[in-house]
Amino acid sequence: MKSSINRRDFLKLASGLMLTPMVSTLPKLDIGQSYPALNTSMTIGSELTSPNVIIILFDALSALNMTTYGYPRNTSPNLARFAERGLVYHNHHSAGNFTTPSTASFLTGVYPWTHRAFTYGNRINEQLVPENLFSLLKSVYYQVAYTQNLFADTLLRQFSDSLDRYIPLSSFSLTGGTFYDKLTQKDSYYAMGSLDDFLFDQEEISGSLFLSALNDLISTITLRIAESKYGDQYPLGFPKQPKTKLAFTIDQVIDGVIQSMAHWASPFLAYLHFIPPHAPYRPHRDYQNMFDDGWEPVEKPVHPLSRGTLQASLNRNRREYDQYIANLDVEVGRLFNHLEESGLMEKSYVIFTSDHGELFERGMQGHSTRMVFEPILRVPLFISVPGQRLRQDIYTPTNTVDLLPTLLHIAGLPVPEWCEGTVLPGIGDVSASRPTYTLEAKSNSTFEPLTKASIALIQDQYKLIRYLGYSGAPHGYEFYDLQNDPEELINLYRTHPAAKELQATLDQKIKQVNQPFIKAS
Amino acid sequence: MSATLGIAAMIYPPFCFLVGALTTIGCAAFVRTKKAIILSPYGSNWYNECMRVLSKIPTRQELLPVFSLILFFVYSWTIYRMLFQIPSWLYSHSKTGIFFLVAYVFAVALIESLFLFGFILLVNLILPRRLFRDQFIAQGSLMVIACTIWALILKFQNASSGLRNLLEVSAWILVFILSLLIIAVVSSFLMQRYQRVKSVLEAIADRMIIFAWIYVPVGLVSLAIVLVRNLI
Repeated sequence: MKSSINRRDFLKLASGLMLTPMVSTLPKLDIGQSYPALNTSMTIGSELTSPNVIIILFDALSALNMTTYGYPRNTSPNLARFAERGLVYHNHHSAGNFTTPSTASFLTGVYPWTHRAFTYGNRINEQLVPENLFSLLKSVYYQVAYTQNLFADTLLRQFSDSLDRYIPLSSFSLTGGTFYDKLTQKDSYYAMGSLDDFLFDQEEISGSLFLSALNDLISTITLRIAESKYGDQYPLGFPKQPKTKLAFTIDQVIDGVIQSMAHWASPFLAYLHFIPPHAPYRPHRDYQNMFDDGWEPVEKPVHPLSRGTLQASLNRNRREYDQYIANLDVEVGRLFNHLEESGLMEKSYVIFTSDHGELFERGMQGHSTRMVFEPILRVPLFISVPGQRLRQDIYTPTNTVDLLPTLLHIAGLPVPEWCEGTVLPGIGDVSASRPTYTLEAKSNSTFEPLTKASIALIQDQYKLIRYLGYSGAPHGYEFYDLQNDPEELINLYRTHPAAKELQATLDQKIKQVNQPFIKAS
Repeated sequence: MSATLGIAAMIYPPFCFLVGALTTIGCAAFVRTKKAIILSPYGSNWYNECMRVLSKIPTRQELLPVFSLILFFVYSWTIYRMLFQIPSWLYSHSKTGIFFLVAYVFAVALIESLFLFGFILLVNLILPRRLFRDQFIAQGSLMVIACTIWALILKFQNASSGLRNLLEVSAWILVFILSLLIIAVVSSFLMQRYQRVKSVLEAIADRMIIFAWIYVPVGLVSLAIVLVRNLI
């Protein structure tokens, strides 16, 4: 038998070697690094030309459940400590009652009826993409964005061209990943809509018959492996990113962000959107016996648009939610400590807020609702300004759409005319009395006029709610005096003189925003 | 080898050089070793064994009905669930957007069908010829139906999330494999004893072939659209 390679074998080998450089010219699928790398022209540690901006956003955090805003339970002492050195906004409202419209309003400075991201996982109107927070501030800051929320991630990817560093959704997680994140970077919107939101949906019956079962099994295996390491710390299960199998621990996420900060060039703008205290409420074991105090909130009548959840169940869920807030408060405290110790707090505008709140009343728990009451709209807003030491309380009603013009003002850039917000009082001048709005339109087509929506108009101390097209809503309008009736118990629509005035304003606004979508007859 | 290099280059370009080198070395070693093995007494038996295993692969006429049945189940379920999803898509996506979403869905359905088909072929290779290969269409169809029932049970019971530890996961996998084995054994016995069972299953699979003519082209076009949107 011959032991050496003959001519035929040599030719086979040579052809294989020759293929290697040819293959490198094929189109590449860049998984894991399709966004621009670190901008080395703004070197780390260079002289600071303007303050950094750090936006810390916690999902579904209601202002009414926080210590700073007078909640009976001491859920957030660390955030209260942070608030003592900055601007505290007591009447800050979200522009939408869940993540997609509210986050889109934050990043674009316009209300949902303009950006048209009405429902879960929507993107904004393509024509507005160039007019977003990151593109407007690109010339001033090194821009970093991270979110744990799948729907917010859809929006960040829409604006990704303007980001210097995009931290993927699955970063710092214990288990799993998303298909659109792992498989495709270029077409993530449709990949997310078809794969993660339909074929492999974790919360509804999925569209895939076999592969989803296999995916579930693999996810369960990886989760059980993670639980074998950390499971005793979370007896109720790991906190989870909704619509995914991504499990995480809050402390590891915060540690990951802190470590990532070391690589950001200055001055930077960082948008950090964390999932807690969004459901499922799964605090660390150290917080699970907190607030067993017997305290119960004011019981309110069940609303016709609610699911009719019993008050006892709402109180139990509220307690778990408060425990979760207490957990994240400690971790946020660590983040703030890091900012202080590293000197970043003195060199940065630190903005703490939320995208929307959470409801535990009137027969409804959560924020997947058509209702627009205060617990779901009132969100915290604290701003730490470089050099500021004393707290300043601001009671002027403000809205999510005000954050973009405020950031432009901080950066010394003009506020565009199309922006529907104004510079926040305390940073800019106090603006005259003006209406601010919140829109819920999950069941309304993006391409049609508003015919099915809940809209809240807030001006001064008054709040008008209009239910458009919802057959279960009583009378179509509700009116509350938030100063004298903060719990929104007494509907003054038929008796208060200001109700008609606000109704005229709101109806005019609806007519105005619907005009572009009304087809010529 | 070219396919391996292509996939590696698409995933991680610097890696393709290493893969290319390793694959080339591996192929060279195999080429040299194969000839040595074949010509040795033990190698001859090994080679014959490989050929025997490969001969268990069914003919094209047998593969098509089973693959068609898989396509029928996979696409039927996906289209059924899509009927619930499309109303919300209409609210937030343009017609073009919905077209792309459907392309992704059908592309994945084709891949899913191929995945299950590969599993059936693997079962065919592993089980004795008498249990599976000799009645491939009937046994393959029955295996597809069994897998579909398992998948639906898992789906509606949300069963895998309820598995509390790795031991339970392993037990579940074992139960699944054993159930397929038992089905294969029992059905083989029944088919040998009652020819009608075999003929009914073959008739059902045979009537599914029309779906292959519909779903395979749709799946391929969808896959092409997905690849174009991601690579170009």
